[in-house]
Amino acid sequence: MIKVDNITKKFKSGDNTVIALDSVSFSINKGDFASIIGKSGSGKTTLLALLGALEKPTEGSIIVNDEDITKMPESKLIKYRREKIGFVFQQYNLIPNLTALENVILPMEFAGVKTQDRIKRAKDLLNKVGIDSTKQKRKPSRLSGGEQQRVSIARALGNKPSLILADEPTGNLDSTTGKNIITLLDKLSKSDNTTIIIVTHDLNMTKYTDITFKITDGKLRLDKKKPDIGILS
Amino acid sequence: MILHGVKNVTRNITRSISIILILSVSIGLALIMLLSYRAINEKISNIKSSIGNTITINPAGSQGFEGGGNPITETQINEIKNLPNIVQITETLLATITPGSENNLTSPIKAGKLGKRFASFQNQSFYNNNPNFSPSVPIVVTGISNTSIITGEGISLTSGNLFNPSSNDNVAIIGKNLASNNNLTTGDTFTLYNTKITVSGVINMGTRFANDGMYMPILTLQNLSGQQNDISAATITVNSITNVNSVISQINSKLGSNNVDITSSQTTVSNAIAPLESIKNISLYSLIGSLIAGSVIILLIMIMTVRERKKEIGVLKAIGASNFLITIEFVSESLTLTIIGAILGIFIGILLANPVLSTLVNTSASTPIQSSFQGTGVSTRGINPGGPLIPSGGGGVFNIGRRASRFISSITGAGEQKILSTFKDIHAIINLNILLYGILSALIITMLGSVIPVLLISKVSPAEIIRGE
Repeated sequence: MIKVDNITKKFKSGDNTVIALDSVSFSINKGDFASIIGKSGSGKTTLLALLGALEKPTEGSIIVNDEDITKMPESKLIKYRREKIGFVFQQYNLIPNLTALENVILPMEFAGVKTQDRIKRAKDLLNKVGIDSTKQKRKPSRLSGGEQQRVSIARALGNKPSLILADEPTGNLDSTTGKNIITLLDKLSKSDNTTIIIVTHDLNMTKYTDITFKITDGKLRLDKKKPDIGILS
Repeated sequence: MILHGVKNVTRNITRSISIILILSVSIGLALIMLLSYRAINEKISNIKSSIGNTITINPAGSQGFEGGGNPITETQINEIKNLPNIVQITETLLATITPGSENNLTSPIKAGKLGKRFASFQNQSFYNNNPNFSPSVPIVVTGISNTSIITGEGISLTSGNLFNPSSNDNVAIIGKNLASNNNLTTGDTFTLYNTKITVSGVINMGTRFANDGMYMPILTLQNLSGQQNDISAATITVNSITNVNSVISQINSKLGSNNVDITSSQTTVSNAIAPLESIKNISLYSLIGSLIAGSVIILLIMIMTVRERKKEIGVLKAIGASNFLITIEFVSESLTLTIIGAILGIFIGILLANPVLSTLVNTSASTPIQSSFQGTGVSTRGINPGGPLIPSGGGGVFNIGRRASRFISSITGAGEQKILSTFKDIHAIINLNILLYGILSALIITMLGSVIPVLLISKVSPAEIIRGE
């Protein structure tokens, strides 16, 4: 379970202070597929960065599995990011000189998973997201956008995280590929009981998620909740 | 992460090759300079411990038979023989014998104009009144406490054996001219101071003058000539040229500067090796400069790479890499480039170390050495690099006092000539250590060049990278 309690994030911009997030509170259950929608500059990516322990809030707390990540020292945060979080980026951000397989192996290498184990798991994950063994040996430049995003999702799943954070995961994809990706994420959410939070400005994506939050000028509110949503088709 | 770093070298082949070539030149130059520095340093140490490290002590106000005052004594030598940094003390005693009933030898050289002139110094009116009188030339006998004086380069024992210089045996090694003039060979005897002396060997000292004399144990000559306990001069060998001044000052303190005249060739030899010192310094500065240049190259490359891959660093951090792991990846990359550069640099170093060293020595050292060598105005005929107190130069036995001062000059001359020849004999020692130095250079360059990039890596914020998207 993730419980965000009254977090505020302020930035200095010259002599001014910008409030990116203003007293945001919400909670998500394990296995939920949630979306946060908002316009550019509304604070949704900042919220994602806070949930991913990439930075700390100015005020408030974020409890993940009964641990307040805002109070963790940097060494524990690195471990938290490595083992509990999986990131999916809009521009995929695969390492260009590594093959698809090597990209997926990378987070497991950071976590110290044995070589044979990580290779096997990476292959399984890539097969699961629809990247066959031929494409697994290709570098990102030889994969399509959708394939790269699938590799990115496989990479995010490498260390069996409890939370996947996806920043505009369909932003660079056409609508069909985007739908496939969001369907894949939903499947993973249900099959592995993994909590997934995506931030997007695409309202169409919200129809696939269990919970939707809307963020405007740093303030968050629950937009809708679909308790009975099933596997999307 | 190390493997990822190594693999990163292939990301931009053209750039990597350029960096490797630049680094190989930098490391090659560093190795050349290191090898040159070591070779020159070793040569300077050798020179300092073998040339210019002698001190000559003469009685105050007297050199040889010229001047006044009292001779040096064995008692005085005993006072200084245990001073620190003294390696050896060689004592000599000079005597001249006049052919006659006491000494059944004849001098191998006629007096000539020089002999007459020098003889006239002692009896001016006689020679003014008898201008055609040709004096008998005395024979120089040198008592020595160390056979190193009659051994070494340019000197050869044509027959017989060396004597024990610390004995009081009635033996002598005679110059080849004296031997042939008196029909003497090894094992023959002759009379000196009414005493039968056995020829233990015949020697070729390399000069006419030295071959006209003879050499015997100093104790024997002291006894025969009635100069018990007396010494004409002593040559002190110091362990290094750098300790010469301190030994001089200690000798002055022990014996009193009014009692002895002390001279050394330290200054002249120091001047002669000054060019080597300069080359040594140039090598050291170039070595440091090459390492700094290599480090700056790596620094700039790494800064550029970190800036280029800032987003990638942010992503790596976001997916769980620590600063340490990312640093390892980047340092591995630069270390790989540097080691490849070092391997090429080692080849460059091996190929060019000796030619560069030779060029440095020849161009930097030739002029100063020549001027220093000529500046002494010393004849180096008959020098004995192995042993100092050998009579040399003109002047004849009548002027043995002046010749005594030439003994010292001949030491200086010997030192300079030895330095001159040794300058041509400097070689960089190329062995397996060069691999070690090459790798060490690579490590130093990488470490120095990595400090700032590592700081830059630690400052990359993954949140900013995500926000930047």
